[in-house]
Amino acid sequence: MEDEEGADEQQQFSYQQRLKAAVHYTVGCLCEEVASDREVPLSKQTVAAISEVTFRQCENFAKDLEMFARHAKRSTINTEDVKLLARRSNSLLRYITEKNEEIAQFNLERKAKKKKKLEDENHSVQPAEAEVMESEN
Amino acid sequence: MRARNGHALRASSRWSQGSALTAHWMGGIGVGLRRARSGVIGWRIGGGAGKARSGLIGGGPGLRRARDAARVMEATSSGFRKELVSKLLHLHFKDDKTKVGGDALLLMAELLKIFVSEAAIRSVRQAQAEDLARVDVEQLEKVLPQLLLDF
Repeated sequence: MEDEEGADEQQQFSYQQRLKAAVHYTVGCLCEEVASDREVPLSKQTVAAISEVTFRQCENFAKDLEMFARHAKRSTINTEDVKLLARRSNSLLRYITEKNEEIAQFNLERKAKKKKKLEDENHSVQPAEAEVMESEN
Repeated sequence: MRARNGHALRASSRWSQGSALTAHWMGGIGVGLRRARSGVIGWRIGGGAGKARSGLIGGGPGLRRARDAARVMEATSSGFRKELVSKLLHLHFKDDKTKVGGDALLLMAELLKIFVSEAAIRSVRQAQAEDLARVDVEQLEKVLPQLLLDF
């Protein structure tokens, strides 16, 4: 029995380690970009420290997001929760709100494109209208 | 010439305005304050070519650049993948029924990217304020408190 629990813990731990490694990779890429832009190298320990901080901060983010959604009597976290998470700094909140509007805009455009594509396909099925379209072109 | 005495009081009044000061630590304060006068969250708005701005978003021009560069940014510069963000969040949920919306996931990926970029950029600025050739953990330690307060 204890062995099973130990094995579970081991699994959980190694899962966490894999996630940390994935975060470390992404953090490394981002830091590399910053370092090459400013031409100031970042030491390996600094990058490791940043990725550790990011991983731990994710825990706070996740718990806060869950609480915000539960407070609104929802089980799905949505963009309003994320905006509430970014409230501490004005410029950060502005940026996140802008990003949100961009994403919404992008979704709208994608939907419009899909709708147009469907309409075009419907029209091409009917030959009479296809002839009319060709003569117009 | 670097001011060696603490300007913590001036720094805290900036805090109350809600703007982020960078490099407000003893030893880099004079230069740091001057650099960070417009003092907002600074992050790289670059396209694929990775042209760095000064890292400050100051109102109109910066935000416009953000909008223009946003699509290019998403395509070319690195960031957090959606599934990674999803796994990270789900790791810490207390309730199994909690889910994350697709748009919220994209926003969280963006937030994490800004977090990392801010940490890196502020550490670089701290190192530059201290006239160092590379960034060590000490510079990160100095900028960490304000970073965590801003997030």
